[in-house]
Amino acid sequence: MELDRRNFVKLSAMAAATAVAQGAPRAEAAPAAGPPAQRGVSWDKAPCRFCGTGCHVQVGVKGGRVVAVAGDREAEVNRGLLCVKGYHVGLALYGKDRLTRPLLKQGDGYVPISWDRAIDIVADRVVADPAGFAFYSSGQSTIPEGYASTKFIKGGVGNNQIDPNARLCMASAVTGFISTYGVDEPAGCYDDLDRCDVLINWGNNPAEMHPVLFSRVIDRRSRGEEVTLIDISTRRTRSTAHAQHYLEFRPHTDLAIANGIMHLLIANDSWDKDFVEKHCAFRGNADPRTLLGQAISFEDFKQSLAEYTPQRVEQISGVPARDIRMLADLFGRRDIRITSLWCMGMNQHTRGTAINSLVHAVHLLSGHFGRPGDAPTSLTGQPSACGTAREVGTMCHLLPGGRSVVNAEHRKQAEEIWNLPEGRIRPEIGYHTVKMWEQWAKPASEGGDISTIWVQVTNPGQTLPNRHKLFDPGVADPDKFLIVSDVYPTPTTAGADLILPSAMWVEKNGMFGNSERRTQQWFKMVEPPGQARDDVWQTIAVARRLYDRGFPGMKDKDGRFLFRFEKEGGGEVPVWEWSRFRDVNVDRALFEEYRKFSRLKHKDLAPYDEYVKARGMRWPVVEQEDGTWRETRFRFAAFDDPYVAEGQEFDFYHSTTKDGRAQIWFHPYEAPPESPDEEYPLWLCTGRVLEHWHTASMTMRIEPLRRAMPNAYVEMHRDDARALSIQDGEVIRIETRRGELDLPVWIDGRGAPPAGTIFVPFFDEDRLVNDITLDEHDPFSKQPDYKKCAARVRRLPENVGA
Amino acid sequence: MPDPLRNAPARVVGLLVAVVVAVVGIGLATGMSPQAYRAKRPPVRERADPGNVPPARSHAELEKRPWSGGPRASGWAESKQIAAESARLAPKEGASIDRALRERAARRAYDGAPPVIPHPVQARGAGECLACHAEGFVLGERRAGAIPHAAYASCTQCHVSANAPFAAVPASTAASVANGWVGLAAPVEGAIAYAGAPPAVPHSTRMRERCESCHGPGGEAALQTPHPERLSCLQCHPATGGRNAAVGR
Repeated sequence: MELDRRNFVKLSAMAAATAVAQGAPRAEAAPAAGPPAQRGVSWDKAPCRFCGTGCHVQVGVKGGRVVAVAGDREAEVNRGLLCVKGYHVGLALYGKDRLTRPLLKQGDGYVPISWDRAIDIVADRVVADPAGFAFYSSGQSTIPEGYASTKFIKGGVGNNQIDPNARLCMASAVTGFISTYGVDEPAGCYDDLDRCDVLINWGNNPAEMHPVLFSRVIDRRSRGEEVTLIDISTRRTRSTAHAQHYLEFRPHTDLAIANGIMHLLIANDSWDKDFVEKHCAFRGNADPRTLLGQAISFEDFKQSLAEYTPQRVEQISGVPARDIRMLADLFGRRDIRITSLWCMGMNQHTRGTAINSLVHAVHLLSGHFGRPGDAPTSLTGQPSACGTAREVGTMCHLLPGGRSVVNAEHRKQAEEIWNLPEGRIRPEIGYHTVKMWEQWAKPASEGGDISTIWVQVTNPGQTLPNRHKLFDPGVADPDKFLIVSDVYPTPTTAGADLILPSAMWVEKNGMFGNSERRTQQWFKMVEPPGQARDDVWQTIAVARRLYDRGFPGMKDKDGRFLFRFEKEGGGEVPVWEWSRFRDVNVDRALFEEYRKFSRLKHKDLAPYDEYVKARGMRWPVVEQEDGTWRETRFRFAAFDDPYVAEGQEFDFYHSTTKDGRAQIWFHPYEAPPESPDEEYPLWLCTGRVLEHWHTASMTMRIEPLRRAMPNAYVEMHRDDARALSIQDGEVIRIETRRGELDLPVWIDGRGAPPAGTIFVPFFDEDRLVNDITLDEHDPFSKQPDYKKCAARVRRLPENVGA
Repeated sequence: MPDPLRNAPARVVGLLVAVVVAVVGIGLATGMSPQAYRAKRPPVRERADPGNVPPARSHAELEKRPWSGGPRASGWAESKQIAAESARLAPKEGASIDRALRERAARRAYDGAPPVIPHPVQARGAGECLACHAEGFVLGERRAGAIPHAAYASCTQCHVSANAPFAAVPASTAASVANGWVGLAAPVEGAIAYAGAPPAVPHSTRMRERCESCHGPGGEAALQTPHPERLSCLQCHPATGGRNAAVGR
């Protein structure tokens, strides 16, 4: 103990001396006279690595390692609080099986190879078949990473074969926003959660998936505020426990519910005529159906809704007519503010675009739009699904900043910014995710024209639907090649021909964009392990190798390398040499270039250095006369959005009809592609749990999270279990038309599905539920429906008679 | 390891004077203000049941009938009821701060991490947790700690069960992987400015605003305060924990 005190004095003196020598420390270290354990810990900000909420954490680093995490009290999103994943995010770096060397498949195993050889192999694959070389990007890629890979593929390799995992996650939200407002991403923001009187969750369980946002709402109650929670869901969840109203609907029938609300708004004459007349137009399906549809009259709209009476909606959806009336009455009131939240329930839906448009339509028709607390808001599951996949546009049909490859003017703009010869960017849309993997899994002899896929920061071997069709055959085909950049072994690396070890999170600089249009920045704080290197370095190094070999696409129109980084004061920095990579802030340079794309859709971004100072800023971020940068919380509303036309209260300035109006859609309810029948009598729904993030390649390596939730299970209603004499905890077999899976049963578990429905979380790589899910997808968003297919269960022979 | 709450002041007077002189000296020499000893204002709160502990006496009263010495003879032990209460508060056989802190650390990935829940939970709403943890209780050998922070309603957002809610299926691939994480250790004892000074709070008070949750009559025996009648802890014990100030960039 006395020794402790001596050390204490000595270290106090050292800390004080250090503080003087360094001037202001980067992060406020513990006070010099603070407790010994805290001394030497430096703190810095970073957005959390996990979900799309976009909490900021304070990362405590000591001795070159992350040792602690704290909620960032300066962050508006989370105000100092985190969820259990966020509190343990630092542990994600230290799983003992981190990938630390490039590995090449040889026979049944892998041999370590040098980075130099690895880069050569990737370059070889591009040179051999540029048209068949595809890039599978991620909503976890940082903004600069996504920007670099888009430029690499579309400006360099010369095709449009890049698509992100976000296709599986929020593509229907994008098409919903575009078909309604003409431009992607929510008009509202999290501030709505502080102001709404009613919060409606549409097929959404934020208590587990967006816990910080959920508690931001329900903690208002402990401050004496009244918030009505309405849970519209296909099973009871932890979110249901806090809701005043639980509306249980039959899978896929959410379209009927939305139509039922609008039917009553018109029947009761309680729709907001003033708002609609000034700012909206009605839209219906063309024949054949298109994303943007065709104009319809109010009479057509009313006529289309005529059949969606409360009784009819009850018949379709199972939601009592009185509850449909309750919803319509709430939307019919002008004195309350209503926020809708949704996530995968509405997006992973073969009618995903339609139901997204309908929920926007309910809000627009009722005028519950554009005032703080009145907003239809979609949430994202990944930390930069918005920032990278949607805004940069790592999608097969997009160019940065909301541009489209089919638009000649947009291609020209990108070619100008990238200094490319005219015509370099191809006008043909590439393959969307499901199609890309299908074309890779299919033999070349049968038209499978994707020969190589380079995967970064994601795990498609676990998340693709119907894996036996979209993943396994490509792995087995010797002519197909899979390159995977990742940090841990996953079901995807298990199928890889070349594995590239990556740096993650605070082992590199990064930028994310969260669900509320907030762009965030962080700096590298610790070294990556072994030979793990930044994903963006990997992309640039391959590009340079191709340039050095004379691959024409990697030259701009003046013959210079596509990715040029200059020191302050001039002079190119050869960042493709790993030893020189950190001589310049590559993130900053890429972001400043990307910013030039951001004005077209009024998604203005501030300079990089502004984000260094902030806990993120919500675009459009517009420079003020005094040189400061102002973020925008509420888009399209004159009181906050600087782009609203003079004299307007609201202005949808990217309207698909080019008249400042948003579209109020009608879509009919239609039966899903696969429903339970005699052979497969149950609905199978898949999803997530609080403790694990997506495929759990990080969270299963975090002991407190793994211990709390060690494996997947199947939730089942006790009546269904009783009918088959299934015991709680018994391992049973689930069968669909695509395969089978054995799982333990959890009756009245975390969630409680109604009779006729079973639920399986998808995090468990040893029990891959996507072996048996359906690869049917929405016709416009191309997003698959993981939330429903037909299944049956049976007891295992060894348990029967037990 | 000796108990600093009780023994430190008496044993290391000379050394502590040296500490103070050294720290103040260094502070002055480097232009540092002695901010480490600046106490934070404690949050205003009310005890749910003031009858649990004896009434605090005023300092004037204490002067007339001074404390009789010894760590727990705090001058109010005259009444039988209070004596009984005091006996319950006394550290149990074998209770040590060392062990209490070890057990505490085992429930956390690092100092400041939300502790795991040692029992099964259903988590069908906050009421389920708050039924026991709003004010906490001791029942035989079982102790339900009072939540040390504001009553956020979604408890399982941060606290997960230490064990799976069902029998785990063995041989999971990633489950066999170890993690090399070494979390920040909890501080053990608070600095004492001079002999007889109240020790500083060694840990961050963030999310631990309610001191009596751990140090009050319902807390772990070895961590309990010898003077539970004093309710405004930070009046005397300065909060110096590092993360109180931690905001980088």
